[in-house]
Amino acid sequence: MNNIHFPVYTLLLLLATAVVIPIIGKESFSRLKTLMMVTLPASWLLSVMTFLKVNQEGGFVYNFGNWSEKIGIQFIIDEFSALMSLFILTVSFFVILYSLKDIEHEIDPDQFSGYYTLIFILLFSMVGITFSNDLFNMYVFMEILSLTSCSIISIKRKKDNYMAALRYLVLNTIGSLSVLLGMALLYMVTGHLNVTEAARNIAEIYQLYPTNLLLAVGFMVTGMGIKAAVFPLHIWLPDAHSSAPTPSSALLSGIVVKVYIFTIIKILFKLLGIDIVNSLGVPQYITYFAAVGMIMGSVFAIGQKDIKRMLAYSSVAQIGYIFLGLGLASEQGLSAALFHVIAHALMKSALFLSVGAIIYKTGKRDIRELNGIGYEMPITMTVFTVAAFGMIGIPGINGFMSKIYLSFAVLDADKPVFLVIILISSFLNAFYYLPIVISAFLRENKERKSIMALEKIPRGMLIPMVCFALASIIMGFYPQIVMDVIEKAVPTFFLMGN
Amino acid sequence: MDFLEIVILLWLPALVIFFGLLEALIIPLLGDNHRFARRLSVNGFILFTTILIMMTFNQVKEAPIVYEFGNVFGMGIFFKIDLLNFILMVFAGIIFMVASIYSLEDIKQKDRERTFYFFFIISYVATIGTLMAGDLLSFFLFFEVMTFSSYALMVHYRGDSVLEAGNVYIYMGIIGGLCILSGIVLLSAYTQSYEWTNLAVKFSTMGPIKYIIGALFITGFGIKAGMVPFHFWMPKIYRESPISVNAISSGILTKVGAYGILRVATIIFSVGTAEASTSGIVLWATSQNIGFVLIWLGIITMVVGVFLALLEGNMKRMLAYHSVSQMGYIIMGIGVAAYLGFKGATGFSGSIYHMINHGFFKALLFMVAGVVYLNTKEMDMYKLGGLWKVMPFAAVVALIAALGITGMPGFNGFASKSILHHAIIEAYKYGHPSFEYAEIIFKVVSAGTVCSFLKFFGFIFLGKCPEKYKKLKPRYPRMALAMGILATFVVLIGIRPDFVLNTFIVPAVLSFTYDPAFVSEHLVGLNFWNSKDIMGMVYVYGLGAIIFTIGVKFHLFHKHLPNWLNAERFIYRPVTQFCEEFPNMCVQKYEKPMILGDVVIYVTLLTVVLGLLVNSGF
Repeated sequence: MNNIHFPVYTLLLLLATAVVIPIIGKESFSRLKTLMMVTLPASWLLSVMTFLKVNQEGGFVYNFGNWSEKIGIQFIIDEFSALMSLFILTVSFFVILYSLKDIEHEIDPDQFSGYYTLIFILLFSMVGITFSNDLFNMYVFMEILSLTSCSIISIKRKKDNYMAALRYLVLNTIGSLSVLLGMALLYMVTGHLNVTEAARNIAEIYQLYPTNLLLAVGFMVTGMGIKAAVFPLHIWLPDAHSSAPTPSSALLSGIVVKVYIFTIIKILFKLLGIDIVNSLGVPQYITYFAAVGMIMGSVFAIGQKDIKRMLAYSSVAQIGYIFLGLGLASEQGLSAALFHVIAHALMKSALFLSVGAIIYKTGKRDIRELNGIGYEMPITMTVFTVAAFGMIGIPGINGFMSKIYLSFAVLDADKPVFLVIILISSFLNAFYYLPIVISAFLRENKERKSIMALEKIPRGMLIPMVCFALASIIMGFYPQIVMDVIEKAVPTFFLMGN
Repeated sequence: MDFLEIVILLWLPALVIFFGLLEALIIPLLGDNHRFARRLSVNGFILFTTILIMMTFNQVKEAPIVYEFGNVFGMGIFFKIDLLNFILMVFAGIIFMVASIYSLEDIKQKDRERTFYFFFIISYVATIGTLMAGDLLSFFLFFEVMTFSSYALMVHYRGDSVLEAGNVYIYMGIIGGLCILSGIVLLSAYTQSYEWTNLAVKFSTMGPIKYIIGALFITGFGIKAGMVPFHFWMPKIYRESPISVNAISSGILTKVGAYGILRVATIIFSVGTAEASTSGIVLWATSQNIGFVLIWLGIITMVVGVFLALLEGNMKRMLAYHSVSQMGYIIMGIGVAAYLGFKGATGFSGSIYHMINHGFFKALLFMVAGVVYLNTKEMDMYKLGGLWKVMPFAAVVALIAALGITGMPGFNGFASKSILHHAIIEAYKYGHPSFEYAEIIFKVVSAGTVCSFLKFFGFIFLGKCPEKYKKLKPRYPRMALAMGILATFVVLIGIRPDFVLNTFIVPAVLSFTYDPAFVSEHLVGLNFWNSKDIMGMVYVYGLGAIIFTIGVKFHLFHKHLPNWLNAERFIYRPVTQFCEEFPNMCVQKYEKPMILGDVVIYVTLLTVVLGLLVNSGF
C-alpha cells in the first residue's frame, strides 16, 4: 500500500491538475472546484502516507528511472522534507478552500482557471524544492516558483499590482542569478550537482578552495535572502503582499517565503556541513541580519496605515526570528526556527485570511477605519485576535512556544543579547497588533451601533480561518505534537559533518 | 463524602478550569431576558469553587496537593496547593463573590453586562490558576490571561479617555509580562528549574546573573503590584474603571503581583529546609541582598503612595494611591522575610496577613466611594460633606474600613500592621542599623494614613452637607449586602486576630524554610493586645491628627505636585512616544527610498560577500 513512489505521485498529481484545470475550468467554476477538492486532498493524503512511512522506517533516496545519482535526478525523502511537504500541502489546502469564495471578489471570472493553474504549479514547485536533492533541480523549481508567485500577484490587473509584480520579478531575478552564480562556483570546485555527492567532495576539498566556497555560499545565501525577504533585502515584499489577492498573500507569506528558508537550511547544513559553515562564519552574519530585521520589520509595521501592508512588514520581522534560530547553527536553534516556520505559517495565514474577510465584507483596509468591526464580524475578529496574541507571545498560542524555544536556543548558544532583542521585538509586536484589537472591540463605530451580530461571511471562508486559529491554540498548548517530529528531523542535518 | 474527597483530590484544578470555561460559555448564551439566571450562575460558580477549595484544607495541612498535567507546553505543567496559596485562593473567592454581588447594581448597562460577566469569570479562573500554579510556565499563562481579562473589565465604560488609561494598563502589563518571561527563561536556562523551589544552593555558585533574574522578576511582579516607580498605572486606570473592578483589582489582582514577589524572594532565592539547619550564612547571602533592596523599595513605595494620596482630592485616585502605599507595607514585609532569611518568619506572615486584610478594607473603601459616587455623581471629596445623615449605613462601614486601614486596635489592620512593625524592628535588631530609620518612616507613613482617612471620612461624611444632597434617598440593598459582608470580616478578624494567624498563617510559615524555634517564640500565641503596640498606635494617631490639623490650616492638601515629578513622564511616556514617533519617521523618510532603491540589494550583497571574505582572512 505504502510505497516509495508516493512523493513523486504527489508531484505528478499537482502538475496534472494544473494541466487539466484550464481544460475543464473554462466552462464552469463549480466543476473546477470539485476537481481541486478531489486532487488536493488526494495529494495531501499521499504526503501523509509518505510522512508516516518516513517516520516509521526512516528516510530514503529516490532516483528517477534508477539512473545513478551522478547523472540522474534524485529526490531525498527524509523526515525533514516529508514534514515540510506535508506542512505546505496542509496550509495550502485551507488557503485554497478559503480562496474558492474569496477569489470571486478579487479577480474576473475568466481568470479563475488561470489563477488556479498558477496556484497548482506553485504548489508543485514548492513540494519539488523540498524533495529535490540536487542543486540544478532546486534552481529550476525555484525559477518556476518565482515566476508563478509573480503572476499570482499581478493577476489583479491593477497598476499597483503590476508595479509590485515587476519589482518582485526584477529583484527575484537578481536573487536567482546570484544563486545560480553560487551554484556554478560550487560546481566548479566539486564537479557535482547532487547535494550528497557534492557534500562529500566539499569536505575533502575545503582546505584547497576556501575562497571559492566562501563566494559560492555568500552568493547563494544572499540570493536566497532576497527571495526569503531578510531585512534589508525585503523591499519587494510589502508591495507584493499588500496588493496581491488575499489567498495569494496568505500563501506567499505563509509558505512560499519559507520554502526558500528550507533551501538555505539545505545548502548550509546538508551541502556544506555544520563545521565548514561555522568556520566560514556564515551563521554569525545571518544572526546580525536577523536581529536587525526583527526590530526594523516591526518598526516599519507600526508606521503602516494599510492593514495588509502592516501584516507584510510583520512577516519581515517574523522571518527575522526564523533566521535567528537558523543562524545559531545549533540543533536547538534549528528546531526553534522550524517550529517558528510552522507556527508563523498558521498565525500569519489566520491573520491574512481574517483581514481578507474584513476586506471582502466591508472593503476597509485602513487601520483607522476598523473601529467597532469586532461587533460586525465577531468570529473573524476573534480569529484575528488569537493570531495577533500569538504574534505578541501570549502563552497558550504557538507563537509563545516558539519564542520560548528560541530564547532557550539563544541562551544555549551563549548569546544573551539576542534575548533582549526578542523581548523588544515582542513588545513592538504588541504595539501594532493590540491597537487593532482594541479598536475593533472597544471603540464605537460612528455608522453602526455596537451590537453583536452574527456575521455574514460565507462558511467556506470562515472554516479555514477558524481551523488555523484552533491549530495555533492546540499547537500552543501541546507543542510536542510538532516538536517531536522536528526533533527527529533536525539531527539529520548535523550528522553530515561527522 | 469519601467519593467527593477523591474527586476533589484528583481533579480540582481541572474542575475549576472546566467549570470556569463552561460558565464563560454559558454567559454569552444567556440572553438579556435571563439576567437573573446569569448573575446567579456567576455567584454560584464562584461559591462552588471556593467551597471545593476550602474542602481540601485538611489534606493541604498535611502535605501540599500536587496535580500533574503531562505534555502541556512540552514539559508538562503541574498545580500545587499548599497552605500559602490556599489562603489566597479562598480569599480570592470571597473578594470575587462580594464584588459580583456589588456589581449587580454597579454594572447596569444592559448590553454590556454580558461582556462584563464573561471577563469577570475568566479573571476569576485566571486568578485561581495563577495562585494554584506549581510551575512557572503555567503561572505565566494564567498571569497573562489575568492581565488581559482584567484589562477588558477595566475599560468597561469605553470612550477615549478610558481607552487611553487602559493603554497605560495593558502596555505596562505587557512589559511586566515580558520581564517575567525573560526571568523565567533565564532562570530555567541557568538552573534547569521551572518550579517554585529553593534554589539558593545553585545560586551560590552563580555570578551576577542571579541578580538580573531577581530584578526581572521583581520588576515584572512589581508592575502588577503597583510598586514605585511603576505605580502610575493604578490611579490612572482606577479613575476610569467600574467600582467593582477597582475592588477586585485592589483586593486581589495586585496581591497576585505581591504573591509573585513573595514566591520569588522567599522561595526561589531561599535555602531548602535540608540545608538551612546545617549550612551557614553563605547560602543566604543572595536572599539577604535581595531582601535589603526589597525593604527599601517597599519603604519608598509606602512613602510615595501616602504622600500622593494626601495631595489627592478625587476619592478613587486617593484610594488608588493608598493601595500603592499599602502594597509598600506588603513588599517591605517580603523584604524583611528575604533579608533575615532563616529568621524572617515575621515578615513573611506579616505580608500574607496584610495582603488579606488590605484586600478586605480596601475593597470596602472602594465600594463606599462607589456608593457615594453613584448617589451624588461627585468624585471630588472636597465638594461633599455631611453625608452620614443621608446614607448612615455607608458611613458606618466607611468608618469601620477607615479604622481598619489606619490600624485601630480591634480592627483587622491593627493585627497585620503590628506584625509588620515587629518585622521591621527585627530587621534592625538582627540586621543592618539603617533599618532604624525605616522603622521611623514606617510610623510616619502610618500617621500619614491616619491623616488621610481623617480627611476621607471627615470631608465625605462629616461637616456641612451641601443643599443638593440633603434630599437624596439612596437605595442600595445589594451594595449594602456586599459592604456588610466585608465589614463583618474586618471586624471579626480585628476581634480575633490570633485565629487567622494560628490556624492558617503559622502552619504556612512552618511549611517553608523558617526557624521553628523562632516562629514559636515570636509568632505562636502572639499577644496582640500588649500595651507597647497599643501605645504605638496612640502615638501614630496623635501624629496623624497633628498632620491633619496642619494640613487643613495651611491648605496643604490642595497643593499639587509639579508635573516633572510624575513617574509616568519618566517611564511610560518616553517609551510609547519613541515607539510611536520613531516608526512614523522611519516610514515617512526611508520606506519609499528603500523600496525604490535596488542599490540596497547590491550593497547588501557586496557587503555580505566582502564581509565573509574579510572574516575568513582572505
